[in-house]
Amino acid sequence: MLALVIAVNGWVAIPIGPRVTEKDLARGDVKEQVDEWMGMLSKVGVTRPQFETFVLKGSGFFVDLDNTVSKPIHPFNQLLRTGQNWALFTGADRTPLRFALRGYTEDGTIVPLFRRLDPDATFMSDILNFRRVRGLYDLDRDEIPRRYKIFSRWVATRAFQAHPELVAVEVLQEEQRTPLPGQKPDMTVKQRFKFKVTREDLVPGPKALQDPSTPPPPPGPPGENPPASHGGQLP
Amino acid sequence: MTQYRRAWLAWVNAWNDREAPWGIALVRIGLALCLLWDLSWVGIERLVVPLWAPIQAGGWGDVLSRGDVPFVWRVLPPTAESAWAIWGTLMVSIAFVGLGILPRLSTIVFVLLYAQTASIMDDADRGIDTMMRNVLLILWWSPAWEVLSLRAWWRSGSFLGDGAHHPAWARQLLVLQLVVMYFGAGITKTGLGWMPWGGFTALYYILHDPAVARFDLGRSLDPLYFLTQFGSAITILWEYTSPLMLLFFWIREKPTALGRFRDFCLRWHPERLYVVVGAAFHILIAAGLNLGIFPFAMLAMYPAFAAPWAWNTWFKWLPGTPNPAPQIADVG
Repeated sequence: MLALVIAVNGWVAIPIGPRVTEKDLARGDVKEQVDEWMGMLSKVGVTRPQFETFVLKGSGFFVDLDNTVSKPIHPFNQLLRTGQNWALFTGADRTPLRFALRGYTEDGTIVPLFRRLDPDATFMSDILNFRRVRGLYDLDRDEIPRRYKIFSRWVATRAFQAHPELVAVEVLQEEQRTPLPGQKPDMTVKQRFKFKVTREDLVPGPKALQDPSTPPPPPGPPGENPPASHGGQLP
Repeated sequence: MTQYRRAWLAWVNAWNDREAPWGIALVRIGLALCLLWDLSWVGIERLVVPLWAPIQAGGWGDVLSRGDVPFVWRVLPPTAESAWAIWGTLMVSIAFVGLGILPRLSTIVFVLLYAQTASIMDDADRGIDTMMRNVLLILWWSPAWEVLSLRAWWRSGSFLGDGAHHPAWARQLLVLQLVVMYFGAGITKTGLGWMPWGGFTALYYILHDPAVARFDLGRSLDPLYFLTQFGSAITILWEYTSPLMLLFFWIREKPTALGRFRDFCLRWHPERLYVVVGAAFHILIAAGLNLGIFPFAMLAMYPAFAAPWAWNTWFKWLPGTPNPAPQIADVG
């Protein structure tokens, strides 16, 4: 029994996959990694197309092999959600993302609500810094997953409840290169994965019917008419 | 005797040790405390429904429209109350694991339900959660409940148990699991920042990654850049060579072969260096990075590294007698 458990987990522990695609190789951070490996491999005569073909075919072969061998134990691992895939900090991100949340008032003023590690923007920080919630916005993908949008609407609802003066809330990721000691800092900050939610977006209606995640409308500013929608056009 | 039979007997003999199960009992209690803390935080921050309820009940996951609807949401009504029931069952079952009440039943209930939460919201389920499920499954088969538990008190009249020795294979398997994790984490570190030709920059970048860093360090770490490089080098070296720990532990607990190398290991205890470096690694992670319970849950598993006789040597008032510690003079 022990021998079987060790053999099965030993196979599962072999770090295979996920399958590398051409789309993966075209990603900025992956390209940077390939560039660095090519700096070494080109010295021994390996060309970039050769290396990329090797990675694509090699990953495909091993993923297919793993799928075949692991098939009998897959239901067991799915049931218990056990595994031996220990990819922890496989690479260090040189252009990391910083999750931020900001509100817009009617006159277009931007109100910083939350920004990771920013002591001046700590709205809901207990929740947004929690490891389980971080998994919702700690993205390494080039497209916005649906959960990110649902999560953003949830956060926006909370922000509208706490800040009646806001007419829109935006979640985004600030991407900035980390300089090494002695390197000149690159102050360019790219804003990525931006998703803006207006109060109108949260009012149940035809649009809301399409999205069952729509929470009830948050209360507006006391004694005022509901704010006009700015759609996605606010500065 | 055929060579296969000899190999089989050697395999059985390798896993046939007996010891007082203090180490694995402490792992059980440590993991239960970490999970209770983490799950309490989910409850206190009212994240139960967002994390684990279907989207129709206010959750973040569109779990009911998936092809593989998790079992709990096939049998429970998709409401916020059901999500709270899942959370309550997790809390009670892991508390029972820690206390040693109906230990095997509570462990399997917890693991199965915890796996369901991972199926519902896999973004909120991290590597450490998988690790804890693995370890709890090992504990399920183990004698971790025979000491430091209400079950021990019920059976022997003492919370500390009766001092009897039990099979040691579960603790040894846990050591193997830890080594597999560390080695797996090492060989998947393919980023050049972990390599000498990449300047060992990885730790510097990680400490400046806002997604995981505990502090906004700015340029304040620059004068200590060499220490982060040293830390990166030690991390990768430690993880790559972690399988050596198995050899050192083997020699410590079964000092029967390998001559001078065995004598060296029994005299200088290199396994202690590995354990100290590993513990320091997790303490520094806890100080510099915000990874939730990860470093604490990992440290909670470290009692498995202690020699089986160590507990009765350190704490002479514990019931039972220590296993005879191997002495260099005895194995010449």
